[in-house]
Amino acid sequence: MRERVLVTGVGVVSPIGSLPAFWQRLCAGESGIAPVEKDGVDAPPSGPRLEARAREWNARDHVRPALLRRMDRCSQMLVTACRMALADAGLELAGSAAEEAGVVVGTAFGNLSESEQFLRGLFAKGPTLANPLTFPNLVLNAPSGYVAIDLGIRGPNLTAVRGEASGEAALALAYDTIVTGQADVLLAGGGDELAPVLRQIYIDLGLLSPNDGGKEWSSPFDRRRNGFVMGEGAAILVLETARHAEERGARVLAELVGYVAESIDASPHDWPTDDAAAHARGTARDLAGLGFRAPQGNDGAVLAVSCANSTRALDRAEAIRLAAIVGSTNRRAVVTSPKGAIGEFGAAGALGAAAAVLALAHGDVPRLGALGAADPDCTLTLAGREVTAPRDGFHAAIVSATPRGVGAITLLFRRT
Amino acid sequence: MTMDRETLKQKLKELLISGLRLQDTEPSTIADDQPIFVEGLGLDSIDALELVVLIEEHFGIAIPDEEVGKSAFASIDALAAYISAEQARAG
Amino acid sequence: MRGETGAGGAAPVVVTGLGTVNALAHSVDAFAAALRAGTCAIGPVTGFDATGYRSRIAAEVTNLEVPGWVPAPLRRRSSRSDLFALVAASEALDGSGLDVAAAPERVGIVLGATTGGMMSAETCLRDRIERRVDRYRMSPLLGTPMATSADLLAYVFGAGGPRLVLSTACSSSGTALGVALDWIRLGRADAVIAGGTESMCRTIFAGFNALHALAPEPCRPFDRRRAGLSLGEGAAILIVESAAHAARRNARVHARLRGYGMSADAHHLTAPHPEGTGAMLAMRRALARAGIAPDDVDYINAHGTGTPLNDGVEAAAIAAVFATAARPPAVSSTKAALGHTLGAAGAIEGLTTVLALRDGFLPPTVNLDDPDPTSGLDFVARTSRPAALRCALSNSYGFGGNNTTVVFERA
Repeated sequence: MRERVLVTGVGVVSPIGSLPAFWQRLCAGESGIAPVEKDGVDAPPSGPRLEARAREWNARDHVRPALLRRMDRCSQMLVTACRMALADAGLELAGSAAEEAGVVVGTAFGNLSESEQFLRGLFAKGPTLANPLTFPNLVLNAPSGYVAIDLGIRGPNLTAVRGEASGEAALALAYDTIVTGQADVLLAGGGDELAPVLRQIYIDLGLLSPNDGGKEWSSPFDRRRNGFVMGEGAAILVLETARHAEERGARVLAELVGYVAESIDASPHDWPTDDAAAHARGTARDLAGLGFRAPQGNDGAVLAVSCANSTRALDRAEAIRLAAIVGSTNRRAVVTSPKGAIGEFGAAGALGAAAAVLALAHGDVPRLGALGAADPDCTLTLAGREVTAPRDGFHAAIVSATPRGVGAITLLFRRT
Repeated sequence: MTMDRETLKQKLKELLISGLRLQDTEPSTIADDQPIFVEGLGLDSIDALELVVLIEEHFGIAIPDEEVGKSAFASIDALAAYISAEQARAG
Repeated sequence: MRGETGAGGAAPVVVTGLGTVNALAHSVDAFAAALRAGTCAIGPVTGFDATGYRSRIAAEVTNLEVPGWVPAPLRRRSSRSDLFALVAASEALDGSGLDVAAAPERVGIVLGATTGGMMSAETCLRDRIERRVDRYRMSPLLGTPMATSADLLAYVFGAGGPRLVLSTACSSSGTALGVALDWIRLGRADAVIAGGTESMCRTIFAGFNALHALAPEPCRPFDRRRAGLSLGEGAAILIVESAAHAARRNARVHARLRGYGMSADAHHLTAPHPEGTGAMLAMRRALARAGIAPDDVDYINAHGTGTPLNDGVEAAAIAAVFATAARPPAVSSTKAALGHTLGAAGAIEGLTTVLALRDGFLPPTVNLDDPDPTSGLDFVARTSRPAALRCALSNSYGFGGNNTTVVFERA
């Protein structure tokens, strides 16, 4: 019998703020997308004017100055999210508890800003003047290392990299790390920063909204969607074994029941085709094995938090895939995506998972604030502004990630 | 380029603060004879390497090895003296 | 003595396929021969202009041969580290005889990596800064994210099970072997293509150079005169499989994968904890989870980078963990021959450990002339020694202060 894994705390740094603002604004359908802030390095002369920057947080309020001095922005967001999550869980990790606790973080690119600066310095000034202070920050696991140093956590310290599914991948890895008995408590989630060099690449490759010259926005599943808006942020869930949570009388927000990994035919560098997306049978079968089914009749309502990011191909594939998992035109299965509020980034799924947990705990719906008319092909029950929360809340939530290269990950959470 | 010792020391303090990201430190709070490393400002070996780079970049003066670094980085006084001496030597 | 199952009655897991491409060799057989011969592959850097660096040597892969059946567009778009992984996985799968297509969803992929296609991305950035191009192009950047190595293998070999890339710096692929073990024990897969891949890039070279961590001469781990590390590149893939599944198909078993242990120093991003608390904790956890006593361990393939700090702390940690053993295990570092291959190091050294157990020899630390006597350990210097080994550990420690120890046992 596997140990049950409970979520007992949530910490968020995001374009719509931290908790409780993050949750209130998601449910109100508000967005953190705002005009581009000047960042000094190659501010884009043309292209997008909008982005979703993490705001309303100050790393200095959370991180010791001696460490803060060394840390890159991505690490600062993650350490902040960890401290917020621990405070939310009412948990202090000291002594042997810190030895049995770990960190599992997902990130697609980590600290890309300092990587760019390091290389610019190297190209301009040569190797002798390369910056030894920032180099240690360039490894993708610098954030998880800083979390361990900041909080004294001496258990497993892992960083998962899965492109746009990095947050979900980290939570999946965290689940396995707990049920194999390697930690009592894990700080699990992910973070990514909005890096100027990545923005320039996305602009050059024509991936950002408005790639058709139309309105610049992010509206997942919308008929008029035209690319994504870049975002950033971090979210951390405190995962605990049921035994550990019970012993300390912890407040429980939700249970992480497990996850399903499924490959779908696609090129290693692209999203799935529509045909391929329809083959979510493996996910549906394995979710059933975890006790999940598409709600019918009087079943409790289900929330599906999708990775749809306002890109034409991905959102269509996600709509087809989710229809195969929760059923099309199913009024008891509400589908949403946080990307209209927080933008797109590698670890955005960690914020999606935080939304799923909060929906189970509080019963409200994170809404698609910008949604006008949905794709005519999309038969899902979308969480538009007018959608009301189910009277008895949600009894389960899935978090769906379909990254490029398509190793899809679906997390399953349950109300406790 | 040479400058008088007080200006040099002020510049070194500013360089230390910006280069090593000591955001919460004011130049006036760094005493001229205060040890820069370990018990002083809480800096470590990576900061020392960065300081070597900063000194070379801003003054064109190399700190060839750890021994020289140890004495030059003893304090702002020591660092200013080292830089002045090297600048004088280079003529 | 030891039961057929691991700690807690967990199902036994074995290694049934091996593959590598590295600076010493482009096949496992050639690699095993080079290890026994005590060859050093560290030489002048050719991948980029190393003028102005404190060290201009590294262990580079030259004359990489990508199998002819790899489609041209994939070959073109894949980064060098992706191709290393592809070549190593191809050898490992061929040798294992595993039929992925028989149950694709039962075959997982977990890799460790730290820089992916960084070299190509660096060139794109430089070209754009210097205005040789006026925009970034898709094709040379497609292989930049590290996740593409695993995606490429999934696509090429049709493996449809769980998929993950770990990036925990220099412990990445040691941990990947451990995650493969967990997936099999949790029933997520019957077999896992597990390992790591890393290709040289300027960022890493310049970074270690800036930290004064590069040795001007080929590195000499555990030597009294050790002066830093040498960098390397390559990939290693192990096919990690449930023993029952391997037995059903009469697969050749190279070694057993008994367990692994992880810890964090929680001390400093680059410097090890001076008392080696994290290193000791990882080794003790690995032994406990594997259900193996210190007395059963005959060999440790050390992290052994060649930096004064790492080797001293690691040797002391090993001596402490095995203080009660009748005879402490022999210790060596493969990095003397292959350089530090970062994200691939755990897998290449795991492979080395498997070969040592399978073929009965202690791999040498090729440039070790004057072993540091502080720890009192038996370092395998210069030349390999024949030895019948029962169990062996592979240590991998990374930036960020994370530590992984993997435990293998002779089949």
